[in-house]
Amino acid sequence: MNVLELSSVSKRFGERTVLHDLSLTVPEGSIYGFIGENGAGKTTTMKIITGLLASDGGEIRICGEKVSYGQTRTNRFVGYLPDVPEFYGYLTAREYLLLVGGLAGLTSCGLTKRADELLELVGLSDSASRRIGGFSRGMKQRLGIAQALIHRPKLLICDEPTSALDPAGRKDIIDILRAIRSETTVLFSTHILPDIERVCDRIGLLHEGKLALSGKLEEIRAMHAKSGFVVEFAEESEASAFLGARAGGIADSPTRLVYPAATREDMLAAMAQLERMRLCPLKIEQREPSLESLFMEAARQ
Amino acid sequence: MRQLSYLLRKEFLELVRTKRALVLLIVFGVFGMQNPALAKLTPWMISLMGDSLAKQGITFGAVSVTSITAWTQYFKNLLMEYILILAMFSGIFAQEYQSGTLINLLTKGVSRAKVAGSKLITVLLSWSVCYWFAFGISLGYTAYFWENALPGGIWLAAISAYVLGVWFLTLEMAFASALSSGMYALLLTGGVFAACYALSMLPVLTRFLPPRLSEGLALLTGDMHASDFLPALWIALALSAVQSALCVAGIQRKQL
Repeated sequence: MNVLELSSVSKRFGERTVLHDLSLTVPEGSIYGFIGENGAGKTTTMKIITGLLASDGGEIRICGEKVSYGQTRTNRFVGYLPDVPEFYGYLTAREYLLLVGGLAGLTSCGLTKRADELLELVGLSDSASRRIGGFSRGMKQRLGIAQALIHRPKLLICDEPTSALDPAGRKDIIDILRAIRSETTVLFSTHILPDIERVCDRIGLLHEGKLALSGKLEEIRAMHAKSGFVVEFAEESEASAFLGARAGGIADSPTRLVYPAATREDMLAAMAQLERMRLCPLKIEQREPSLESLFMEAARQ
Repeated sequence: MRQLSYLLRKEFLELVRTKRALVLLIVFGVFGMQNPALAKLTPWMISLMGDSLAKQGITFGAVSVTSITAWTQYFKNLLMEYILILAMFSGIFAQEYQSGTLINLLTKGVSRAKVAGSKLITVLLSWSVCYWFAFGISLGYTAYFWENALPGGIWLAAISAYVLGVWFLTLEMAFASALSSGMYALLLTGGVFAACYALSMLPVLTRFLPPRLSEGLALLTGDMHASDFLPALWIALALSAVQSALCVAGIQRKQL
Protein backbone atom coordinates (compact mmCIF):
# COMPACT_ATOMS: atom_id res chain seq x y z
CA MET A 1 0.00 0.00 0.00
CA ASN A 2 1.21 3.49 -0.79
CA VAL A 3 1.13 5.94 2.11
CA LEU A 4 1.73 8.89 -0.19
CA GLU A 5 0.86 9.37 -3.83
CA LEU A 6 1.51 12.47 -5.91
CA SER A 7 0.01 12.57 -9.41
CA SER A 8 1.03 15.27 -11.89
CA VAL A 9 1.49 17.95 -9.25
CA SER A 10 2.54 21.34 -10.56
CA LYS A 11 3.35 24.63 -8.89
CA ARG A 12 4.37 28.00 -10.25
CA PHE A 13 5.64 31.06 -8.43
CA GLY A 14 4.95 33.90 -10.84
CA GLU A 15 6.71 33.08 -14.09
CA ARG A 16 8.85 30.36 -12.53
CA THR A 17 7.63 26.77 -12.68
CA VAL A 18 8.92 24.97 -9.59
CA LEU A 19 7.11 21.63 -9.98
CA HIS A 20 6.21 20.28 -13.38
CA ASP A 21 3.86 17.27 -13.46
CA LEU A 22 5.57 15.71 -10.45
CA SER A 23 4.42 12.16 -9.69
CA LEU A 24 5.80 9.94 -6.98
CA THR A 25 4.68 7.19 -4.62
CA VAL A 26 5.98 6.30 -1.19
CA PRO A 27 5.14 2.72 -0.12
CA GLU A 28 4.31 1.94 3.50
CA GLY A 29 7.30 1.09 5.68
CA SER A 30 9.94 2.71 3.49
CA ILE A 31 12.40 5.48 4.17
CA TYR A 32 12.18 7.54 1.02
CA GLY A 33 15.05 9.87 0.25
CA PHE A 34 13.86 12.89 -1.67
CA ILE A 35 16.96 14.32 -3.29
CA GLY A 36 17.50 17.52 -5.16
CA GLU A 37 19.83 20.46 -5.34
CA ASN A 38 18.97 23.65 -3.45
CA GLY A 39 15.95 25.31 -5.04
CA ALA A 40 14.83 22.11 -6.80
CA GLY A 41 11.39 22.31 -5.17
CA LYS A 42 11.71 19.83 -2.27
CA THR A 43 10.36 22.21 0.39
CA THR A 44 7.58 23.38 -1.95
CA THR A 45 6.54 19.75 -2.52
CA MET A 46 6.48 19.07 1.21
CA LYS A 47 4.48 22.20 1.95
CA ILE A 48 1.91 21.20 -0.67
CA ILE A 49 1.71 17.71 0.85
CA THR A 50 0.98 19.22 4.28
CA GLY A 51 -1.57 21.70 2.90
CA LEU A 52 0.56 24.74 3.72
CA LEU A 53 0.78 25.71 0.04
CA ALA A 54 -1.76 25.37 -2.73
CA SER A 55 -0.73 23.43 -5.84
CA ASP A 56 -1.61 24.68 -9.31
CA GLY A 57 -2.56 21.25 -10.58
CA GLY A 58 -2.49 17.52 -9.90
CA GLU A 59 -3.60 15.47 -6.93
CA ILE A 60 -2.04 14.27 -3.69
CA ARG A 61 -3.36 11.39 -1.60
CA ILE A 62 -2.19 10.36 1.86
CA CYS A 63 -3.42 6.93 3.01
CA GLY A 64 -5.95 7.14 0.19
CA GLU A 65 -7.43 10.51 1.26
CA LYS A 66 -7.10 13.57 -0.92
CA VAL A 67 -5.01 16.48 0.40
CA SER A 68 -6.56 19.93 0.20
CA TYR A 69 -4.98 23.32 0.78
CA GLY A 70 -5.39 24.92 4.21
CA GLN A 71 -7.42 22.86 6.62
CA THR A 72 -6.56 19.37 5.40
CA ARG A 73 -7.80 16.35 7.34
CA THR A 74 -4.95 14.26 5.95
CA ASN A 75 -2.59 16.00 8.38
CA ARG A 76 -3.78 13.61 11.08
CA PHE A 77 -1.71 10.95 9.27
CA VAL A 78 1.32 13.20 8.93
CA GLY A 79 4.16 14.32 11.17
CA TYR A 80 6.09 17.22 9.68
CA LEU A 81 9.56 18.42 10.55
CA PRO A 82 10.29 21.72 8.76
CA ASP A 83 13.84 22.48 7.60
CA VAL A 84 14.35 24.94 10.46
CA PRO A 85 11.81 23.98 13.13
CA GLU A 86 10.78 26.94 15.26
CA PHE A 87 9.36 26.68 18.75
CA TYR A 88 8.01 28.92 21.49
CA GLY A 89 11.19 29.70 23.39
CA TYR A 90 9.30 30.42 26.63
CA LEU A 91 8.01 26.81 26.85
CA THR A 92 10.02 23.85 28.11
CA ALA A 93 10.55 20.85 25.83
CA ARG A 94 7.98 18.79 27.76
CA GLU A 95 5.43 21.62 27.78
CA TYR A 96 5.83 21.99 24.03
CA LEU A 97 5.22 18.29 23.40
CA LEU A 98 2.17 18.39 25.69
CA LEU A 99 0.88 21.40 23.73
CA VAL A 100 1.26 19.84 20.26
CA GLY A 101 0.07 16.44 21.50
CA GLY A 102 -3.03 18.01 23.03
CA LEU A 103 -3.68 19.91 19.81
CA ALA A 104 -3.30 16.68 17.84
CA GLY A 105 -6.06 15.16 19.98
CA LEU A 106 -4.13 12.93 22.39
CA THR A 107 -5.79 12.45 25.78
CA SER A 108 -3.94 13.73 28.80
CA CYS A 109 -3.06 10.38 30.42
CA GLY A 110 -1.52 8.92 27.26
CA LEU A 111 0.02 12.22 26.31
CA THR A 112 2.40 12.58 29.25
CA LYS A 113 3.65 9.03 28.72
CA ARG A 114 4.10 9.59 24.98
CA ALA A 115 5.95 12.89 25.56
CA ASP A 116 8.38 11.21 27.98
CA GLU A 117 8.87 8.29 25.58
CA LEU A 118 9.76 10.65 22.74
CA LEU A 119 12.05 12.80 24.88
CA GLU A 120 13.89 9.58 25.70
CA LEU A 121 14.00 8.53 22.02
CA VAL A 122 15.50 11.82 20.88
CA GLY A 123 17.86 12.09 23.86
CA LEU A 124 16.30 15.13 25.48
CA SER A 125 15.13 13.56 28.75
CA ASP A 126 17.68 15.54 30.75
CA SER A 127 16.61 18.79 29.12
CA ALA A 128 12.87 18.15 29.31
CA SER A 129 12.31 20.90 31.87
CA ARG A 130 14.58 23.46 30.24
CA ARG A 131 13.11 26.30 28.19
CA ILE A 132 13.53 25.77 24.45
CA GLY A 133 14.92 29.30 24.08
CA GLY A 134 18.27 27.99 25.38
CA PHE A 135 18.45 24.94 23.08
CA SER A 136 21.17 24.42 20.47
CA ARG A 137 20.25 23.86 16.82
CA GLY A 138 20.80 20.10 17.13
CA MET A 139 18.57 19.92 20.21
CA LYS A 140 15.86 21.86 18.37
CA GLN A 141 16.10 19.47 15.44
CA ARG A 142 15.69 16.51 17.78
CA LEU A 143 12.75 18.17 19.51
CA GLY A 144 11.38 18.80 16.01
CA ILE A 145 11.37 15.06 15.35
CA ALA A 146 9.72 14.40 18.71
CA GLN A 147 6.92 16.87 18.02
CA ALA A 148 6.40 15.40 14.55
CA LEU A 149 6.01 11.90 16.04
CA ILE A 150 3.82 12.83 19.03
CA HIS A 151 0.58 11.57 17.45
CA ARG A 152 2.13 8.39 15.98
CA PRO A 153 1.79 9.53 12.36
CA LYS A 154 1.72 7.03 9.51
CA LEU A 155 3.99 9.31 7.47
CA LEU A 156 6.86 11.40 8.82
CA ILE A 157 7.96 14.17 6.47
CA CYS A 158 11.38 15.62 7.26
CA ASP A 159 12.61 18.59 5.28
CA GLU A 160 16.41 18.64 5.23
CA PRO A 161 16.68 17.50 8.86
CA THR A 162 20.45 17.15 8.76
CA SER A 163 21.52 20.05 6.56
CA ALA A 164 22.40 22.53 9.27
CA LEU A 165 23.99 20.07 11.67
CA ASP A 166 27.55 19.00 12.44
CA PRO A 167 28.52 15.33 11.77
CA ALA A 168 27.60 14.23 15.31
CA GLY A 169 24.22 15.94 15.08
CA ARG A 170 23.60 14.39 11.66
CA LYS A 171 24.39 10.94 13.00
CA ASP A 172 21.94 11.46 15.88
CA ILE A 173 19.13 12.34 13.47
CA ILE A 174 19.91 9.41 11.15
CA ASP A 175 19.92 7.04 14.14
CA ILE A 176 16.52 8.35 15.23
CA LEU A 177 15.10 7.83 11.73
CA ARG A 178 16.44 4.28 11.73
CA ALA A 179 14.89 3.65 15.14
CA ILE A 180 11.39 4.69 14.04
CA ARG A 181 11.27 2.95 10.67
CA SER A 182 9.34 -0.02 12.06
CA GLU A 183 6.33 2.12 12.94
CA THR A 184 6.44 5.08 10.53
CA THR A 185 7.02 5.61 6.83
CA VAL A 186 9.52 8.41 6.29
CA LEU A 187 9.87 10.92 3.47
CA PHE A 188 13.21 12.59 3.97
CA SER A 189 14.49 15.41 1.79
CA THR A 190 18.12 16.36 1.58
CA HIS A 191 20.95 17.33 -0.68
CA ILE A 192 23.47 15.50 1.53
CA LEU A 193 23.88 12.24 -0.37
CA PRO A 194 25.82 10.23 2.24
CA ASP A 195 22.86 10.66 4.63
CA ILE A 196 20.54 9.13 2.04
CA GLU A 197 22.94 6.22 1.51
CA ARG A 198 23.04 5.59 5.26
CA VAL A 199 19.34 5.37 5.90
CA CYS A 200 17.07 5.31 2.82
CA ASP A 201 15.82 2.28 0.95
CA ARG A 202 14.09 4.24 -1.82
CA ILE A 203 15.00 7.46 -3.51
CA GLY A 204 13.49 10.02 -5.81
CA LEU A 205 15.69 12.58 -7.49
CA LEU A 206 13.98 15.89 -8.14
CA HIS A 207 15.49 17.86 -10.99
CA GLU A 208 13.91 20.85 -12.71
CA GLY A 209 10.54 20.13 -11.12
CA LYS A 210 10.36 16.48 -12.23
CA LEU A 211 11.52 13.16 -10.84
CA ALA A 212 14.65 12.46 -12.86
CA LEU A 213 15.20 9.13 -11.13
CA SER A 214 13.21 7.06 -8.66
CA GLY A 215 12.94 3.58 -7.21
CA LYS A 216 14.68 1.26 -4.76
CA LEU A 217 18.19 2.43 -4.01
CA GLU A 218 19.72 -1.00 -4.69
CA GLU A 219 17.87 -1.40 -7.98
CA ILE A 220 18.96 2.04 -9.12
CA ARG A 221 22.53 1.21 -8.26
CA ALA A 222 22.26 -2.07 -10.19
CA MET A 223 20.75 -0.33 -13.23
CA HIS A 224 23.58 2.14 -13.24
CA ALA A 225 26.25 -0.44 -12.57
CA LYS A 226 28.63 0.69 -15.27
CA SER A 227 30.95 2.00 -12.64
CA GLY A 228 33.76 -0.38 -13.48
CA PHE A 229 36.09 -2.26 -11.20
CA VAL A 230 39.33 -1.84 -9.30
CA VAL A 231 42.33 -4.19 -9.19
CA GLU A 232 45.02 -3.79 -6.57
CA PHE A 233 48.39 -5.56 -6.75
CA ALA A 234 51.20 -6.01 -4.25
CA GLU A 235 53.90 -5.02 -6.76
CA GLU A 236 54.16 -2.12 -9.22
CA SER A 237 55.49 -4.49 -11.90
CA GLU A 238 52.34 -6.64 -11.68
CA ALA A 239 50.13 -3.56 -12.08
CA SER A 240 52.04 -2.27 -15.12
CA ALA A 241 52.08 -5.75 -16.72
CA PHE A 242 48.31 -6.06 -16.33
CA LEU A 243 47.72 -2.54 -17.63
CA GLY A 244 49.87 -3.35 -20.66
CA ALA A 245 47.81 -6.46 -21.36
CA ARG A 246 44.41 -4.88 -20.71
CA ALA A 247 43.86 -1.32 -21.90
CA GLY A 248 41.26 1.10 -20.54
CA GLY A 249 42.56 1.27 -17.01
CA ILE A 250 43.83 4.23 -15.06
CA ALA A 251 46.57 3.84 -12.47
CA ASP A 252 45.35 5.91 -9.54
CA SER A 253 48.38 4.68 -7.55
CA PRO A 254 51.43 2.64 -8.67
CA THR A 255 49.79 -0.59 -7.53
CA ARG A 256 46.09 0.20 -8.08
CA LEU A 257 44.26 0.19 -11.41
CA VAL A 258 40.75 1.55 -12.00
CA TYR A 259 38.66 0.54 -15.03
CA PRO A 260 35.88 3.15 -14.79
CA ALA A 261 33.84 2.28 -17.88
CA ALA A 262 33.95 -1.50 -17.50
CA THR A 263 30.85 -3.69 -17.25
CA ARG A 264 30.33 -6.94 -15.30
CA GLU A 265 31.33 -8.88 -18.44
CA ASP A 266 34.55 -6.87 -18.69
CA MET A 267 35.31 -7.68 -15.06
CA LEU A 268 34.79 -11.44 -15.65
CA ALA A 269 37.13 -11.21 -18.66
CA ALA A 270 39.71 -9.37 -16.53
CA MET A 271 39.60 -12.13 -13.90
CA ALA A 272 40.19 -14.76 -16.65
CA GLN A 273 43.11 -12.70 -17.92
CA LEU A 274 44.63 -12.51 -14.42
CA GLU A 275 44.42 -16.28 -14.25
CA ARG A 276 46.06 -16.66 -17.68
CA MET A 277 48.84 -14.26 -16.66
CA ARG A 278 49.24 -16.10 -13.35
CA LEU A 279 48.81 -12.80 -11.47
CA CYS A 280 47.28 -12.86 -8.05
CA PRO A 281 45.95 -9.42 -7.09
CA LEU A 282 45.51 -8.30 -3.51
CA LYS A 283 41.92 -7.54 -4.41
CA ILE A 284 39.59 -7.07 -7.33
CA GLU A 285 36.25 -5.44 -6.67
CA GLN A 286 33.29 -3.95 -8.41
CA ARG A 287 32.96 -0.22 -7.92
CA GLU A 288 29.51 0.64 -6.61
CA PRO A 289 27.99 3.67 -8.27
CA SER A 290 27.89 6.38 -5.65
CA LEU A 291 24.73 8.36 -5.23
CA GLU A 292 26.76 11.36 -6.19
CA SER A 293 27.58 9.88 -9.59
CA LEU A 294 23.91 8.95 -10.10
CA PHE A 295 22.92 12.45 -9.10
CA MET A 296 25.36 14.04 -11.52
CA GLU A 297 24.32 11.65 -14.29
CA ALA A 298 20.60 12.39 -13.81
CA ALA A 299 21.26 16.12 -13.61
CA ARG A 300 23.18 16.01 -16.89
CA GLN A 301 20.40 14.19 -18.78
CA MET B 1 -13.09 23.55 22.14
CA ARG B 2 -10.22 21.34 23.20
CA GLN B 3 -7.88 22.86 20.62
CA LEU B 4 -9.02 26.35 21.54
CA SER B 5 -8.33 25.78 25.23
CA TYR B 6 -4.80 24.48 24.46
CA LEU B 7 -4.15 27.50 22.23
CA LEU B 8 -5.47 29.92 24.84
CA ARG B 9 -3.29 28.35 27.49
CA LYS B 10 -0.29 28.84 25.20
CA GLU B 11 -1.18 32.49 24.55
CA PHE B 12 -1.57 33.26 28.25
CA LEU B 13 1.66 31.46 29.14
CA GLU B 14 3.35 33.64 26.52
CA LEU B 15 1.90 36.80 28.05
CA VAL B 16 3.06 35.81 31.51
CA ARG B 17 6.49 34.37 30.68
CA THR B 18 7.52 37.12 28.29
CA LYS B 19 6.52 39.59 31.08
CA ARG B 20 4.07 41.37 28.76
CA ALA B 21 1.23 40.84 31.23
CA LEU B 22 3.30 42.40 34.01
CA VAL B 23 4.29 45.40 31.87
CA LEU B 24 0.67 45.97 30.82
CA LEU B 25 -0.62 45.78 34.39
CA ILE B 26 2.05 48.15 35.71
CA VAL B 27 1.56 50.71 32.93
CA PHE B 28 -2.23 50.59 33.06
CA GLY B 29 -2.03 50.78 36.87
CA VAL B 30 0.02 53.96 36.53
CA PHE B 31 -2.48 55.30 33.97
CA GLY B 32 -5.27 54.64 36.46
CA MET B 33 -3.48 56.33 39.32
CA GLN B 34 -2.03 59.35 37.61
CA ASN B 35 -5.32 61.04 36.69
CA PRO B 36 -6.78 61.56 40.18
CA ALA B 37 -3.31 61.94 41.69
CA LEU B 38 -2.30 64.66 39.25
CA ALA B 39 -5.61 66.43 39.70
CA LYS B 40 -5.25 66.29 43.46
CA LEU B 41 -1.65 67.42 43.41
CA THR B 42 -2.13 70.28 40.94
CA PRO B 43 -3.17 72.96 43.54
CA TRP B 44 -0.32 71.90 45.82
CA MET B 45 2.22 72.12 42.97
CA ILE B 46 0.91 75.51 41.91
CA SER B 47 1.13 76.85 45.46
CA LEU B 48 4.64 75.43 45.75
CA MET B 49 5.74 77.28 42.64
CA GLY B 50 3.49 80.28 43.30
CA ASP B 51 6.17 82.53 44.89
CA SER B 52 8.78 82.03 42.22
CA LEU B 53 6.22 82.41 39.44
CA ALA B 54 4.82 85.55 41.11
CA LYS B 55 8.29 87.12 40.97
CA GLN B 56 8.15 86.61 37.20
CA GLY B 57 4.79 88.29 37.07
CA ILE B 58 2.69 85.14 36.76
CA THR B 59 -0.06 84.95 39.32
CA PHE B 60 -2.75 82.33 39.86
CA GLY B 61 -6.20 82.72 41.26
CA ALA B 62 -7.68 80.07 43.54
CA VAL B 63 -7.51 76.69 41.80
CA SER B 64 -10.48 74.49 42.56
CA VAL B 65 -10.18 70.84 41.68
CA THR B 66 -13.15 68.47 41.52
CA SER B 67 -13.66 64.87 40.48
CA ILE B 68 -14.54 66.16 37.00
CA THR B 69 -10.97 67.50 36.75
CA ALA B 70 -9.68 63.99 37.41
CA TRP B 71 -12.05 62.42 34.87
CA THR B 72 -11.10 65.09 32.30
CA GLN B 73 -7.52 63.95 32.71
CA TYR B 74 -8.62 60.31 32.48
CA PHE B 75 -10.40 60.72 29.14
CA LYS B 76 -7.54 62.82 27.72
CA ASN B 77 -5.04 60.09 28.56
CA LEU B 78 -7.06 57.31 26.95
CA LEU B 79 -5.28 57.78 23.63
CA MET B 80 -2.07 56.59 25.30
CA GLU B 81 -3.84 53.44 26.49
CA TYR B 82 -5.03 52.67 22.96
CA ILE B 83 -1.57 53.24 21.49
CA LEU B 84 0.07 51.05 24.13
CA ILE B 85 -2.27 48.10 23.75
CA LEU B 86 -2.21 48.32 19.93
CA ALA B 87 1.60 48.44 19.91
CA MET B 88 1.82 45.55 22.36
CA PHE B 89 -0.25 43.20 20.20
CA SER B 90 0.52 44.45 16.68
CA GLY B 91 2.99 41.60 16.08
CA ILE B 92 0.88 38.77 17.51
CA PHE B 93 0.39 37.17 14.06
CA ALA B 94 3.47 38.52 12.26
CA GLN B 95 5.77 37.04 14.90
CA GLU B 96 4.36 33.56 14.20
CA TYR B 97 4.27 34.01 10.42
CA GLN B 98 7.86 35.25 10.27
CA SER B 99 9.37 32.66 12.58
CA GLY B 100 7.27 29.73 11.32
CA THR B 101 6.11 28.64 14.79
CA LEU B 102 2.57 28.01 13.52
CA ILE B 103 3.73 25.35 11.06
CA ASN B 104 4.19 22.65 13.71
CA LEU B 105 0.70 23.36 15.04
CA LEU B 106 -1.14 23.60 11.72
CA THR B 107 0.39 20.38 10.42
CA LYS B 108 -1.13 18.65 13.46
CA GLY B 109 -4.55 19.49 12.04
CA VAL B 110 -5.15 22.60 14.18
CA SER B 111 -7.90 24.77 12.75
CA ARG B 112 -6.66 28.14 11.51
CA ALA B 113 -9.90 29.71 12.68
CA LYS B 114 -9.12 28.54 16.22
CA VAL B 115 -5.62 30.03 16.02
CA ALA B 116 -7.16 33.38 15.04
CA GLY B 117 -9.89 32.94 17.68
CA SER B 118 -7.39 32.27 20.45
CA LYS B 119 -5.43 35.39 19.55
CA LEU B 120 -8.55 37.54 19.36
CA ILE B 121 -9.74 36.27 22.74
CA THR B 122 -6.30 36.86 24.27
CA VAL B 123 -6.08 40.41 22.92
CA LEU B 124 -9.63 41.36 23.90
CA LEU B 125 -9.34 39.76 27.32
CA SER B 126 -6.04 41.57 27.93
CA TRP B 127 -7.66 44.85 26.90
CA SER B 128 -10.67 44.18 29.14
CA VAL B 129 -8.52 43.40 32.18
CA CYS B 130 -6.15 46.33 31.61
CA TYR B 131 -8.86 48.86 30.79
CA TRP B 132 -11.15 48.04 33.70
CA PHE B 133 -8.15 47.71 36.02
CA ALA B 134 -7.05 51.28 35.13
CA PHE B 135 -10.63 52.51 35.31
CA GLY B 136 -11.18 50.78 38.65
CA ILE B 137 -8.06 52.39 40.13
CA SER B 138 -9.12 55.78 38.79
CA LEU B 139 -12.59 55.27 40.21
CA GLY B 140 -11.23 54.18 43.59
CA TYR B 141 -8.80 57.08 43.95
CA THR B 142 -11.34 59.60 42.74
CA ALA B 143 -13.84 58.28 45.28
CA TYR B 144 -11.17 58.48 47.95
CA PHE B 145 -10.08 62.05 47.15
CA TRP B 146 -13.54 63.48 46.37
CA GLU B 147 -16.60 62.10 48.00
CA ASN B 148 -18.85 63.06 45.09
CA ALA B 149 -16.91 60.58 42.99
CA LEU B 150 -19.41 59.34 40.43
CA PRO B 151 -20.56 62.02 38.04
CA GLY B 152 -23.61 61.22 35.90
CA GLY B 153 -22.85 59.47 32.62
CA ILE B 154 -19.56 58.01 33.80
CA TRP B 155 -20.56 54.41 33.10
CA LEU B 156 -21.71 55.05 29.53
CA ALA B 157 -18.60 57.17 28.93
CA ALA B 158 -16.38 54.35 30.30
CA ILE B 159 -18.18 51.67 28.27
CA SER B 160 -17.91 53.83 25.12
CA ALA B 161 -14.16 54.24 25.60
CA TYR B 162 -13.85 50.50 26.21
CA VAL B 163 -15.80 49.64 23.04
CA LEU B 164 -13.61 52.04 21.06
CA GLY B 165 -10.64 49.96 22.26
CA VAL B 166 -12.41 46.75 21.13
CA TRP B 167 -13.01 48.34 17.70
CA PHE B 168 -9.36 49.42 17.48
CA LEU B 169 -8.04 45.98 18.44
CA THR B 170 -10.32 43.94 16.16
CA LEU B 171 -9.41 46.31 13.31
CA GLU B 172 -5.72 45.80 14.02
CA MET B 173 -6.20 42.00 14.24
CA ALA B 174 -7.99 41.99 10.86
CA PHE B 175 -4.93 43.62 9.30
CA ALA B 176 -2.46 41.61 11.38
CA SER B 177 -3.80 38.19 10.35
CA ALA B 178 -3.56 39.07 6.65
CA LEU B 179 -0.15 40.76 6.75
CA SER B 180 3.30 39.59 7.73
CA SER B 181 4.24 42.85 9.44
CA GLY B 182 2.99 44.12 12.78
CA MET B 183 4.13 47.63 11.93
CA TYR B 184 1.91 47.73 8.81
CA ALA B 185 -1.04 46.46 10.86
CA LEU B 186 -0.47 49.25 13.39
CA LEU B 187 -0.07 51.94 10.72
CA LEU B 188 -3.13 50.80 8.78
CA THR B 189 -5.19 50.84 11.99
CA GLY B 190 -4.04 54.40 12.60
CA GLY B 191 -4.86 55.23 8.97
CA VAL B 192 -8.41 53.89 9.24
CA PHE B 193 -8.94 55.82 12.47
CA ALA B 194 -7.64 59.01 10.83
CA ALA B 195 -10.03 58.45 7.90
CA CYS B 196 -12.97 57.88 10.28
CA TYR B 197 -11.94 60.97 12.23
CA ALA B 198 -11.90 63.04 9.02
CA LEU B 199 -15.29 61.66 8.00
CA SER B 200 -16.73 62.42 11.41
CA MET B 201 -16.20 66.11 10.66
CA LEU B 202 -19.29 65.80 8.48
CA PRO B 203 -22.15 66.58 10.89
CA VAL B 204 -24.41 63.97 9.31
CA LEU B 205 -21.91 61.18 10.13
CA THR B 206 -20.55 62.33 13.49
CA ARG B 207 -23.05 60.35 15.59
CA PHE B 208 -22.38 57.10 13.77
CA LEU B 209 -18.61 56.78 13.59
CA PRO B 210 -16.33 55.20 16.23
CA PRO B 211 -14.34 58.42 16.99
CA ARG B 212 -17.51 59.71 18.73
CA LEU B 213 -16.81 57.13 21.47
CA SER B 214 -13.70 59.05 22.52
CA GLU B 215 -15.78 62.04 23.57
CA GLY B 216 -17.09 60.51 26.79
CA LEU B 217 -16.15 63.57 28.82
CA ALA B 218 -19.06 65.44 27.20
CA LEU B 219 -21.43 62.97 28.88
CA LEU B 220 -20.00 63.92 32.27
CA THR B 221 -20.22 67.64 31.67
CA GLY B 222 -23.75 67.28 30.29
CA ASP B 223 -22.84 68.62 26.85
CA MET B 224 -24.01 65.36 25.28
CA HIS B 225 -26.51 62.68 26.13
CA ALA B 226 -26.72 58.91 25.75
CA SER B 227 -28.65 59.29 22.49
CA ASP B 228 -25.60 61.03 21.00
CA PHE B 229 -23.44 58.00 21.74
CA LEU B 230 -25.58 54.94 21.26
CA PRO B 231 -25.56 54.85 17.41
CA ALA B 232 -21.74 54.95 17.34
CA LEU B 233 -21.61 52.37 20.14
CA TRP B 234 -23.76 49.83 18.28
CA ILE B 235 -21.99 50.49 14.98
CA ALA B 236 -18.56 50.04 16.59
CA LEU B 237 -19.71 46.72 18.09
CA ALA B 238 -21.08 45.55 14.72
CA LEU B 239 -17.85 46.61 12.98
CA SER B 240 -15.85 44.74 15.63
CA ALA B 241 -17.78 41.56 14.82
CA VAL B 242 -17.12 42.05 11.09
CA GLN B 243 -13.44 42.78 11.74
CA SER B 244 -13.15 39.61 13.87
CA ALA B 245 -14.58 37.61 10.97
CA LEU B 246 -12.07 39.28 8.64
CA CYS B 247 -9.29 38.31 11.04
CA VAL B 248 -10.32 34.65 10.70
CA ALA B 249 -10.60 35.00 6.91
CA GLY B 250 -7.12 36.57 6.81
CA ILE B 251 -5.37 33.60 8.42
CA GLN B 252 -7.38 31.13 6.29
CA ARG B 253 -5.95 32.69 3.11
CA LYS B 254 -2.42 33.20 4.40
CA GLN B 255 0.22 31.09 2.67
CA LEU B 256 2.75 29.96 5.26
